Amino acid sequence: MPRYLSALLFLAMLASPAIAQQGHPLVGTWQGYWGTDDNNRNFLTLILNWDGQKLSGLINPGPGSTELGSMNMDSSNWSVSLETDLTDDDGMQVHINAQGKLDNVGSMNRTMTGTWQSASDSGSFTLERQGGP
Amino acid sequence: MRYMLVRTIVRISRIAVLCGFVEPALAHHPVQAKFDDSRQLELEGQITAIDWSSPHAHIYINVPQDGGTPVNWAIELADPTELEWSGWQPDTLAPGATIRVSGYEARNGSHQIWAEKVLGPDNTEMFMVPDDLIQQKLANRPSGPTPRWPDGQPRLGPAPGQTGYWTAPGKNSLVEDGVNVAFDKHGMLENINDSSKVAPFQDWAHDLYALRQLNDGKDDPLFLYCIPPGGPRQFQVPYGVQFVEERNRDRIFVLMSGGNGNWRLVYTDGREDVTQVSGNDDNPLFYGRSSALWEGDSLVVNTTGFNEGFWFSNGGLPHTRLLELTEKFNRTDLNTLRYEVTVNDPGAYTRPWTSSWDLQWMPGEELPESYCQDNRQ
Amino acid sequence: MIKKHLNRSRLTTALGLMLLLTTIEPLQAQQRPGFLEDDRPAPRNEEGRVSLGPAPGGAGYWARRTGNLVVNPDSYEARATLNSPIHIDDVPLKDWARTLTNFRHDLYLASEPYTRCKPAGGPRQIMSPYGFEIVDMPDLDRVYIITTSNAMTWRVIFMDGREHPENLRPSYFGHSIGHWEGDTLVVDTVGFNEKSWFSRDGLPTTTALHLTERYSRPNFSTLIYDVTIDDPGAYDAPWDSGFVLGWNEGEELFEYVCQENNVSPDAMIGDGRISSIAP
Repeated sequence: MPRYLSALLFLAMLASPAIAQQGHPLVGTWQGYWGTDDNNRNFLTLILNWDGQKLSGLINPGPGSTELGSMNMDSSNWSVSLETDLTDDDGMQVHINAQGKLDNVGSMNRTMTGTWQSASDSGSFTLERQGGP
Repeated sequence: MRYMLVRTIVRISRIAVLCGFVEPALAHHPVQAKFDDSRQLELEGQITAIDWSSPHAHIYINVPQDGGTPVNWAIELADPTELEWSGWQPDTLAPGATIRVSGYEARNGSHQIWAEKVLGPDNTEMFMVPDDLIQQKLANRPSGPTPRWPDGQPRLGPAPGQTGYWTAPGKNSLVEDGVNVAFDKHGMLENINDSSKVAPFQDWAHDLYALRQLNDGKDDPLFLYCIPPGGPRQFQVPYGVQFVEERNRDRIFVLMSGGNGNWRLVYTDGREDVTQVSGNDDNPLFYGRSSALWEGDSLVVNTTGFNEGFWFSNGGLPHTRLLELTEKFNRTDLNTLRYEVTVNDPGAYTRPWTSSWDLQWMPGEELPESYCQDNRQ
Repeated sequence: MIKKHLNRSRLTTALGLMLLLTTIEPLQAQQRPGFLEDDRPAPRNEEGRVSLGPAPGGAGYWARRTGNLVVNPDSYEARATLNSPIHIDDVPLKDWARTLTNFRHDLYLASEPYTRCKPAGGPRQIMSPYGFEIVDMPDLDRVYIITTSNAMTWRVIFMDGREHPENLRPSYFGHSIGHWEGDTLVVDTVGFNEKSWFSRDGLPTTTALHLTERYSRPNFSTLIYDVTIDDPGAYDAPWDSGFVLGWNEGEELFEYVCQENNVSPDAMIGDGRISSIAP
């Protein structure tokens, strides 16, 4: 994605709804991209929940959605780790491990960025918390 | 350990504040959300307008620029009610008068300043309210027993022919009863190392609370976006609450002056806790769904159905949708309302815990009309 | 002067239902709101006066159906003027006020403060479809008007015979004193600020605004709202208007937080300048 488009996307996100949920920082809808590089990126929607004991989630809701395998957060440094199956844009099942970090945790515009590895590939991901509950 | 750097920065800015200026009297909410107390500013200019509205009055002045057109600055002051109680009126100074102001600059770089000190044309200090204004107002109240309805039940509102409201909360933050930690009037910890003592937090909830504290409350959705003060916070806001007891309808309106001037409806017939205020699991609310019964002289209110869109306490203690509150209201005499809240939120805390404080009766005064929305400029 | 306008207003009340019927009838008989036909009488309280709340043991609230303050065929909301007998051309707007009203309509009322979650006083307080209750607290000598929308807030009407104070601080709802004339609640309000619109029509007001409102309940399901608008800052003469509201029986007020789903936070706060949103 050209850099100026990223900047525009970021600005559009800044103008997204004001009301963030103020409870567990991971709860809610996250959207962004994962891929091996800038030319090979997959759109990703991740819906996360917290029941007081553990995190659960749904990847790409709709036809072909996937239950999130497992996810953990270490609030001492706001790092996250997850292990799950994903379906990429070609319909291929990929088992991945990912590690990332939350930024702007106190803000409604929080982000989650990090890296992932599968058996054959690796790359990065970038997600932003969307408005709404 | 990881807080060291930020804490030092916070401390330095507080020291700067203490050395240079007195803390603003009765700053009603974390002005830090809007103003940066590390950016001091002094201005001199001519008054162009005075906006005497709640929650904060504003004086607008034109500040001359070298070789350019003057810049119009908004000077943010205390609440008009408290300004008036301190002897100031909107016509105390007229447009055209020259004033000097020192205070904090707005974080967003706009031409706004939180006034710590206003000097009038003859160099006397103006438009400030004393730190102990509320205590002064409350000092000489007549005392008396709990007012009661003819059947003996305590009145939470005024007796017939009288008026008044509840204000001056005895605590500025939720904190578990029996824990001794110091907060400032905005619910900010005097010592960040006390953060884990405040409540039986889960790890993530503690760390989020500590983060909000280290951010000096600047993420507070009440002050950023006028999001309602749901839960116990409605009894922490500075402008007061009032109870309108409709006994023939088995309900009580809690009228709020702070926040958005909202109301909260409490049903007193113990009705089933379902869809009372169009809330259910799919429509969680800022004030939740409240159902109450009188137990002796205590009104015991059970509330569930909260959303996660707000802070339920000054200072940013987190909660989740699993939050269930049990609030007890006990008017122990004419002037005292004991408020006790038990927080049961297995999403954010390791066990239920209780916090309590007193509210004070402000006799003879009307609950002010005040809208957060009004001043968010 | 004041007496004259009270008389005018009383006349409006007396003719209110008839006016409404004649306004509505020719348009389309099937559109005529059913609540006007309710043959149940209004409930009465212990003193025998008409109650503006539910019957004992019941619940309910008032809600706007189609009423607007004026008929304005040029408004994009023109269809919503069914009950209003005053045409905007007959409103004695001062030139500046008419220009401003037209300007607001040219922009489809996009700069309305209400959509930025500001409270709005006068007629606008009760013009929300989400409704309001008139809570009579006789032993406190007060009537409260408590609204679901319109910032989910409340307004107090003092019924103890007091006068308006001097040096009123301008506010959204002003300072209201009221009394009962028979079965009609009459409310006199001054001390408004200029930060919101007092109608859905974009009509301007100034701090000189003085309202005389009359609330009456000709049957169980109908509330007639008459208002005399006296604002020498914006109008050349006092003028009368009004609309009817229907009773939502068995319903309770509910939580409504404008800020919750407002997707334009930057337009929501501040003065809501037109430049900050798309019309």
